[in-house]
Amino acid sequence: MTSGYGKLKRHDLKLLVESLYGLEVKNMQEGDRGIFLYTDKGIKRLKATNSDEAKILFSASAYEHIYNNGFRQISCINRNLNGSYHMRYDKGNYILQNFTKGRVYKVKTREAAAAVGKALAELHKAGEQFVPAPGSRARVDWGKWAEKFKANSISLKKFKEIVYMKEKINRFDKLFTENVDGFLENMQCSCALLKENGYLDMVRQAMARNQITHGEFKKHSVMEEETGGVFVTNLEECSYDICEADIAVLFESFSGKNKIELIASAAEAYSSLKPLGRYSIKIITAFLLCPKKFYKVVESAYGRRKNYNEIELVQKLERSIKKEKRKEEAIRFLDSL
Amino acid sequence: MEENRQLERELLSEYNLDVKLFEAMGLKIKQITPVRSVYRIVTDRGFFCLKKLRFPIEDMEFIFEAVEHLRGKGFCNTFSVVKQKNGDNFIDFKGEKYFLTEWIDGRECDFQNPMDLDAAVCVLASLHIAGEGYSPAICPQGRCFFGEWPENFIRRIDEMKRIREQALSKPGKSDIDKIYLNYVDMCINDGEEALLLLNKTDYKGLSEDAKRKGSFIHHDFAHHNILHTFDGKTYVGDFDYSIMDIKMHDVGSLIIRNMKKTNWDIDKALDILEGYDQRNPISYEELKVLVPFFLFPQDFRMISRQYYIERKAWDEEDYEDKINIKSEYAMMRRKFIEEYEKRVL
Repeated sequence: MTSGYGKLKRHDLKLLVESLYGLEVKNMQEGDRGIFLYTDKGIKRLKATNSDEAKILFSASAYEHIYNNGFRQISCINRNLNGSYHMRYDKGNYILQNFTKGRVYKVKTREAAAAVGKALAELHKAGEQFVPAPGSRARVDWGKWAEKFKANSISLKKFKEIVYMKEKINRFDKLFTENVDGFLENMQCSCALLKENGYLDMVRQAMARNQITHGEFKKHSVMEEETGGVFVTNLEECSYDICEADIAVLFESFSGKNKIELIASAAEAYSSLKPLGRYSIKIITAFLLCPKKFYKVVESAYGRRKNYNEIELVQKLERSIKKEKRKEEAIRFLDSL
Repeated sequence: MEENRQLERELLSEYNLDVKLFEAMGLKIKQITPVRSVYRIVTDRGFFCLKKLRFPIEDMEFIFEAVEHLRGKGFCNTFSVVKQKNGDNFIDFKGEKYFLTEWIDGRECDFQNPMDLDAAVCVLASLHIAGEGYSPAICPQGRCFFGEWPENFIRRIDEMKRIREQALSKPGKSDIDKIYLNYVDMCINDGEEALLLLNKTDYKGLSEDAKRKGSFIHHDFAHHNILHTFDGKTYVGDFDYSIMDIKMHDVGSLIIRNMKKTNWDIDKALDILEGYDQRNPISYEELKVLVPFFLFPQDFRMISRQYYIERKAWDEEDYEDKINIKSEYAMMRRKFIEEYEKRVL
């Protein structure tokens, strides 16, 4: 096997899956999203995960809750014969999921955007009142964004001071100083938007509903089934949060010249099932406005300094700036609503 | 975070999970899962938390008695200890001692969530109110902090000075030594200034008053020791480090824990104080005592101690990161205290 799964030994893996899950594995094939196992009980996908047992249990119970609440276009994590949702192999954790044939959903038309927006609303509805399985460790993002953005903006100011104190600046520093003021303003504005538009009230409501969110609802997390339907994957990073966080991630992932049309269409479809008020739109705008990608790169250079490699970081910073700038059109549109 | 994980792993590896242990407890074990430094066990009688005693018996009796005192005073936000067949709180198994508490499922507190933080502050205030009047049968050495702060400060400053000498006398200086030496004088100064400031406050009076009242505090009020259930209740666990001391020790620690996550944001500190004060009023003298508490470079002392004295098996890069961060705290803490004095005192 090659790529990320190259170190795995096919025969060992086959025997392990067969004994743990009570399946007969007939063939195995490596894909970019894991290892496909052709078994007597259909095609399964084996995926490596960085999560520990308790976190896997949390996502597995979220999958089941959402599925049992009526959102069926989702693939649950298979439980093994010991009752656990994961298997250990070569010091790593793996999960096994049913595989649905299809391809990444191409969101290029208004109709496709509407289908994705509707699917997200349905997923959010099914994700209400979620209480995880005993023993799991919940991922919780409720209420933390305003504080986090504020703390990050203070860090950005600190990084600016670090660069100003430097006698000799490099290319990364130059790129950073050229862009930091604009992004710092965005970050502060994002923080203010959250505070002024009832972010904490939304959090309170989400907490009362025990609302689970996808956490990574980009267009790449949505598949188009062979029958043409929408199928949602990658729920492993799901967390307790407000629904607007997922919507912002989805809007950010739209690209192309008709990006605004796609956003409008997805928002409309979402609203038809779960109405989005004026404040929700403002909160989504706040999430989009926050330069998370820019901050992440800058933080690794001036903050953590882990695996510091200037050339690589310059490239990452350039990419992040481009990505942040790409959001401007969407922000302007949402602001006009 | 990684240092905590390492410590947790070390603690977990010390458990003897022999099936006979559970038989002696009268339990049929179905599943054992590690959760931080304890095990969640699923048995024929339900879910429990299994914990190994890490302290001498008198310390454990102090803790068990404290939890019972809190519950007796109506503070039910703790996990109750499950008595053994013979009525004891713990069981002796092959020279090791274990105890069980009820298991409650929930999520760890997130201090970045204002609702979680407010609930934590509320529980802390209630814990302190309920904790008053605690009079343990035996108060082990090291569990009674009344009036001890100046002594502790002096001892820690001396230790920092000793470590500085050790670092200075090293022939080839590593990057960590250089960072350490860059900051150590400033931190020793901060420590000495904190001691002077403490002596100017009414710490002694507060301490005597707290001693008279029998003031009990948690002493490790970290986010992972606070649990929110999915029906909105808040619980406090792990009283391993609990002591008798003035309540501001816990309040100050909670503020410092939050400041590290929020770049020493004074507004957040004021929110905590206000939230606490509404439930358990804080006097002006108590607010003043927080200044030396904030100023003392406890983080820097700890990390240098871990590097130079305890010689923990972390890699150099980790140490460098940590020393860098803790040194920065020393700078930020000064600005924070200036603001605190301006806005609070």
